[in-house]
Amino acid sequence: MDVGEWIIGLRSNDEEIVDLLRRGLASIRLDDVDVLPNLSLLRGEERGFARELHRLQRRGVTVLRTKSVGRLIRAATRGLEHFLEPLPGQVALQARLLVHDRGAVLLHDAGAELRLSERRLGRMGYRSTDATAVRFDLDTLEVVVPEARFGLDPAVAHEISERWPEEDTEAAVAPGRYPVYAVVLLGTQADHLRIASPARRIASFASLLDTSFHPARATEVEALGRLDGRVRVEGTLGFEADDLLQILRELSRASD
Amino acid sequence: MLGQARGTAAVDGAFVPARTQGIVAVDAGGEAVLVDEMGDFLHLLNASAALLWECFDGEATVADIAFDLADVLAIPMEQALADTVAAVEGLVERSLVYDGRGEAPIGTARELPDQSDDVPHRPRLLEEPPNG
Repeated sequence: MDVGEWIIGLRSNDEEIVDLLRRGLASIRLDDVDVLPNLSLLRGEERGFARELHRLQRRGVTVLRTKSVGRLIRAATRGLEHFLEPLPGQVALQARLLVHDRGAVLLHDAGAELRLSERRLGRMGYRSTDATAVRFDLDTLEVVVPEARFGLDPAVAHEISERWPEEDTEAAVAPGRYPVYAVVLLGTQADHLRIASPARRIASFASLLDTSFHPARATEVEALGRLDGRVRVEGTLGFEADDLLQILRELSRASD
Repeated sequence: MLGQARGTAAVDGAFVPARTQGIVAVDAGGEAVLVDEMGDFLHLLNASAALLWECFDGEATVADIAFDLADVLAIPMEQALADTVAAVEGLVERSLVYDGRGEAPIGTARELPDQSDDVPHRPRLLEEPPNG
């Protein structure tokens, strides 16, 4: 797929998905380019007692698991945004975004493989983004969910939604701006962060930067560092989904 | 990785610390985070090192800086000189500082090719892990 700045390779282990992608994204499809896969839509085994979830992988990391093929395709289409340079004044984050009434919660992408139950997250009041691109406004310090610049052909989108309707929890975070309420860092403990030196805390925030477009810039590090003292910062040493859910539960209940 | 500061002149009082191009400091409440904008590295400086960093203008020698430091912090000149030399050695070792008396180390911004040429914009292919 030619997204302008890059040619993005999509692949699937399923002929039906390939066909839907070919038709749905025909306007940006390139057929004569040998390209490595950047997005993989992996259809799980649906026969038998234990149904396997379908997976969307971006750059080798699973960013979505779902039982809906339609959701998988819609998420992949939205996910093309990831490969586009952020708008001026914004920077890409390697973070998973959850939105609560209190604001945005950023989870460091190192936990992308963690399976967090959507149902449990929903009960805590969190909405998720289906692996959409997450940007950060360097001036306002808000999280930005960009409007999708690529969409499926309407007829194909309709065909897909007829078979696999949109789920209530699907891409529940609308494009827009969200103030940051909390940052959850992995591989560190909140207590350690609280006693860490100011420079070390800024470096911790900087770990949220997605440097796949360019190396981190001082203005970006400085802007993320300005979150220090303004937002709640939590951390967990391990990479256990239960630990993360516990932190999210406490954040959802915490008084301001 | 930036620069080739390793192997440059030994740090002594005559050494002139100059900041390697492409390294930008972010203030962190008296400390500093040095951002290597070309190599994607972060380096943390404690308050003392951050103070020294501010003094590295490519003109003042280590002895000049140590003299000021001794004056401001009311410490013996010998101690200020030893501390400054040690700090500068650490920064030189990490290619963050070079001796301003000589040429800037290879690989700094001034020696990078100009990328503003009017090269036709073409989509490029992203290299990905095998299981991308």
